[in-house]
Amino acid sequence: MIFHIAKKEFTETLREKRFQLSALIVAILMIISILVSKNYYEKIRTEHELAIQTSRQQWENQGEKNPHSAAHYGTYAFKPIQSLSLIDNGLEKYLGVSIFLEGHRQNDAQYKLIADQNSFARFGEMTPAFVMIYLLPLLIILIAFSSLSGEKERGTLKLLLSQGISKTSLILGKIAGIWLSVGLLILPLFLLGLAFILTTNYQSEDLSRYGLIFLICLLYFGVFVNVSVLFSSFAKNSNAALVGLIGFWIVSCLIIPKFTSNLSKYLYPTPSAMEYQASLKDSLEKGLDGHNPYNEFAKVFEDSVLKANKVDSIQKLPFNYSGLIMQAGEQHERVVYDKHLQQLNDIYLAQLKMHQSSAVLSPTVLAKMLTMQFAKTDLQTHFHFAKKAEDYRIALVSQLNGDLQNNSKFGDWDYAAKPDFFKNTVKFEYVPISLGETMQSAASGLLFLIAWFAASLIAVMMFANKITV
Amino acid sequence: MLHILRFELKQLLATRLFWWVGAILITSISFAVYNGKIAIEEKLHTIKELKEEQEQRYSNFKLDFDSLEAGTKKAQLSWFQDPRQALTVGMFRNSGKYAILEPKPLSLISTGQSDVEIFYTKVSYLSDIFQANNVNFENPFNIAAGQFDFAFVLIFLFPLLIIALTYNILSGEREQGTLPLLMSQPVQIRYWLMAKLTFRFSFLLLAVLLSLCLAFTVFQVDFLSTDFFKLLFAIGIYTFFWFALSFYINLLGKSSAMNTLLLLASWLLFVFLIPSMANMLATSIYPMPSRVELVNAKRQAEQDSERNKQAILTKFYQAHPSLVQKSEKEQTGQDFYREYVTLHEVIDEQVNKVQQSFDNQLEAQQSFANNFQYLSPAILMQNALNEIAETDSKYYKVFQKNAHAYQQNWKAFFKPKFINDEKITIKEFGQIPVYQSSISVDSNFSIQLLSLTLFSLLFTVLVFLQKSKNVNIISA
Repeated sequence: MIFHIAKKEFTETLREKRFQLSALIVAILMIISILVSKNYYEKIRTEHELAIQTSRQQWENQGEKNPHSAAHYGTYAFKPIQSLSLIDNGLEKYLGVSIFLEGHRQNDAQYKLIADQNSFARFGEMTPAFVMIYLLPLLIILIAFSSLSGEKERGTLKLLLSQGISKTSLILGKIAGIWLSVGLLILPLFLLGLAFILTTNYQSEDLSRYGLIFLICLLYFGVFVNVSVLFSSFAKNSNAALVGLIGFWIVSCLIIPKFTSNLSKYLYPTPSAMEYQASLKDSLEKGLDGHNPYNEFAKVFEDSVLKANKVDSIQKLPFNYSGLIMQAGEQHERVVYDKHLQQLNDIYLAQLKMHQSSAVLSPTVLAKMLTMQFAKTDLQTHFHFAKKAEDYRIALVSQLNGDLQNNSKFGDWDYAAKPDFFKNTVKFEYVPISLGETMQSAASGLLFLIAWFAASLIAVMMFANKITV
Repeated sequence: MLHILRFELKQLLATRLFWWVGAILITSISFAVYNGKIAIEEKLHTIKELKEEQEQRYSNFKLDFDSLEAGTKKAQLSWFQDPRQALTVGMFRNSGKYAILEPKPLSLISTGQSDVEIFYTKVSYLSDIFQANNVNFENPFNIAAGQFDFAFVLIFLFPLLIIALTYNILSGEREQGTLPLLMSQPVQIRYWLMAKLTFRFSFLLLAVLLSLCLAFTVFQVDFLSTDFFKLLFAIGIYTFFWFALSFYINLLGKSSAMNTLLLLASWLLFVFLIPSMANMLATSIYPMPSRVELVNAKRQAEQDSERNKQAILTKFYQAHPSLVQKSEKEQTGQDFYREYVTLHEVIDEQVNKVQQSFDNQLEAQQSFANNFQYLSPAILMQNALNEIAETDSKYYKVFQKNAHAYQQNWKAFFKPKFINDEKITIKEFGQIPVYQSSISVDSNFSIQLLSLTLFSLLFTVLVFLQKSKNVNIISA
């Protein structure tokens, strides 16, 4: 019986002009957005590959130079573009693309694309994820809003029930029927996305990630299917069901995310850049400064080095003291920078937790957060990149300080490392965040989404028995 | 006519819908104004601290200056702390004054680009004013989700309320069976509809106006200015657009359910689909120049000039025969910085060329992308509000240009001192350039409102073309 209901619902939906038109629009938008994303992906990928090469060449060909001057001269780390950004570019526009790596300082990623765009870029961008997360639920609402209220209005519900079908099977049949129509549309689109990903420079993990993104979408669509049938079964008429469902969509997609973005800032205030810099400067001054030998911490350090080497002046040390103290300063600076960055990140994470809690009213927030996590275009992935770049910076600078320490004499700032030295310095090879790490941070969100799905299914089932004819 | 209005008023006060609409407007507008107010206050707080900090630094300089002149403090200050040194007050870490883009009271109506753009920068001889210091940070997820500001309420939520109040003005009568009665009255149905709509239009506009004034008063916003009237005008036209659209759809004579569907589809199209499509098309038809390439190009320019270091310095010493180039060991701090300044001038010139060509490309891209605003009243309205709030990206671009010009003044002021190793006089100390905060931008406000009006007129014309068609009197 469920099968018959599903089949009837499916054929009816397919025949509807409304469905045909909107499905066509969704499909076209999806295809266009994938094509545009692919184009963008290729452009950025070539740009970045070239940039990484050029910047390494510039670093290697800086000629004879004092290693510490080279540390001040610095180099760049460029964030590679992820294959899955083709599907969901997440926060990429709002995050910087390059980090300047230099001695003594940890820099933020620079150049957010959004700052180079017109104001109306803030309306959102047509990407495959946008189509999936914002538009497909609308299509589901359109298919499902009259699924039960329509039967009621036409009086066919009485007929159906008089045939001896249970209300539960009726609802299940309706849900299955809606899924058939939705599946008919999204399955080809999913395969299309897969085909495009296969043309990129993907990692094997990316395919499982894509599968998970698809699963997340299915759960998310499931929530909308269940909620739509639920609304349709208790609404006075189809019109009321439609208005209620669109209301749900607006709350879930527009109001809650914006509301939470303000609220989270009130509950977990982000420090202003000025406060942040001031407290950073404060902490930096409470430790060793490699450039200032008069600083009290430098004195203590000097004494300890002299004692350990059993000499009475730094000139008598068997190595260049400048290299050693620079490195010690670097270590202190890193600890300070890391601590402050961690504090800031903790605030961001607390704000994100709030967004996740707001998902009680908005399944959209969950879907959005999860897809960008699995597409490696979220904040966590960005932190991961920044951390790796920082590790690299420390490794590089310590190599430079090591050269200074071992191959030059104290006070001889005219010393220059051989050009070959720069060619042999460490290279930055970025390995993106692993699926395991993403899983760990995405687990709670994933469970939440499953709970939404289960709860909405239970709700619609429980309500089924209360439908009045 | 008066009868209809009086009847309408009675009917409306009796329905709960009107009270709901009023309540939604008041709460959402109050929350939006509160959010805007907090954001502006945070900025003003930062600005106040910046000014205090700058005041502190330069008044310390002044104290040192005076006591050095009087001969009382000489022993304690090294040369690089001496405020009579141009290097101390013009180039070193403690030097520099702020260029600040101050928000206006009405900036709170629209966040625009204010949460991603930089609104202040410290300008000194060597400061890399818009690259190095990343002074605007906020959780990127929050920025991406967007702010709950007045522009959001007006552009996204307000049309939905209009739809809620107008979707069934004709079909409702038909479905209740009261349409034949109405038709028998000696009043044309179009005028009757227009009266109904005018009433609802006035109600909504009044509700927005009152909510806005209430929120402004409660949160102490100094809003009475010409900008406020510009804002009211813009709100009026945007509201008119949605009424004209709704009028047209009502006249198609479909059922209430169909009207709802059509109106919601239009809403979706104008505030959601067209803007996101436009956004995508604008950047894919005419891609933005690459920042990543810019980074390396600037670096290359820097490296090339550095290779010519000796040639640049030789040329400099030829032009200044009174100065002699010393070996690095013999150089004093001042000698070192004189060469440093000379070298950097050449480097900056090369780097600026690269930057300039990038900026030109970006500007061309942005003005191309801007053409897409004419596709949707929602984009036009957003941009018009950004113009009033002065949070449009172009205000920040002009601010950046001004700050660069200010840095040029700063350099021109200090350069002769560095080169000739002159001390600064007390008179000159008082003349150190200050940023003049005047932003003049070509406003597109009138064009945007004109286009919005055209959109509304388009539907008004359609309304009049529609009248010849018969309207079903009884619902099927």
